[in-house]
Amino acid sequence: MTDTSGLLREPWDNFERQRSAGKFGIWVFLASEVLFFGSLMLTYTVCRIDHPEAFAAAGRATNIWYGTINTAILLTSSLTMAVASQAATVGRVFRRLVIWCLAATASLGIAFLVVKAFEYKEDIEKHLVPSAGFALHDTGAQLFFGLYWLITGVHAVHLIIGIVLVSRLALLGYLQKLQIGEAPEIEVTALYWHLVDVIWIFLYPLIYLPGRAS
Amino acid sequence: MSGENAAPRVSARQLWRRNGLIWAALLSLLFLSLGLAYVPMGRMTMVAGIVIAFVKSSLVILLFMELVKSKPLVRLAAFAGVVCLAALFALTLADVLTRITTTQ
Repeated sequence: MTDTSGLLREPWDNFERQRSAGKFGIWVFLASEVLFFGSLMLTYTVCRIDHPEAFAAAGRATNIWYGTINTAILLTSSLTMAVASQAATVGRVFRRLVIWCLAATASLGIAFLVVKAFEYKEDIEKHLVPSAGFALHDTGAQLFFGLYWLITGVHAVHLIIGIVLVSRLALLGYLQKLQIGEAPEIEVTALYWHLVDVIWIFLYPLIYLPGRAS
Repeated sequence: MSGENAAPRVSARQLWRRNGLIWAALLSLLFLSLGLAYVPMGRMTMVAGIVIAFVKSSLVILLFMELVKSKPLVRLAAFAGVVCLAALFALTLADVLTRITTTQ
């Protein structure tokens, strides 16, 4: 049995209850995040109902390869994050595996942002930023790209927060300042990371797939 | 809780195999949705993309986030989020989809 007393915080008098509360707390937070991104996706849905043709044309103007590669990158990062989280709950025997998986997850998150930066650069060059010189003529396409910049931008901010949290855990683990096996931070951070992935899973068909068949 | 010298309950190989299978299913679904997006099926093309997104997110939430193994309170928190989101969509779309467009 390992000592978990150093991890115990007020008001908890036992470690298991603290851990359960932490997990419950992050799920409540994630539910609020679902509503936050859900309301943005609902706005998208209402606009798309009003401008179906413009949304198809705007969807065609996005770069499907950047979108697909980034989806694959995030799905892979969820794999490494899941292995890190599950290995951490087993115990310290998997310390190296946990640290490597956390580092891989953060690296894949950075790879996503790099691809996204190339995509944003291309979008700007193709005049796909809603403004006077916008490339597509239908006003509905400006709505699409307004939402595209807003939602992908907010998602990127969430991902940056995730990368910072995961990198911190990897570093603390490497410096032996994290009690892998007992520290609940890895599990909680993993849940946040997976939700950022789930949001992207829905953004992919909404942003990149419209209008491809027509 | 296993200590430094205790044998782990699962091996690293088992962890990779179990999660790797889910990852392979997720990537297969990604390429399926990519392929289906180019098949002209009218509105069903969009529906297929959304349905696949639901399947993919269910895999991540239930298995990677281990909601299937979580306590009822945690499941309730997740369910509350989904119910509120469903209410948001249902009430808004009940208005938007039933509006009568007048032409003058």
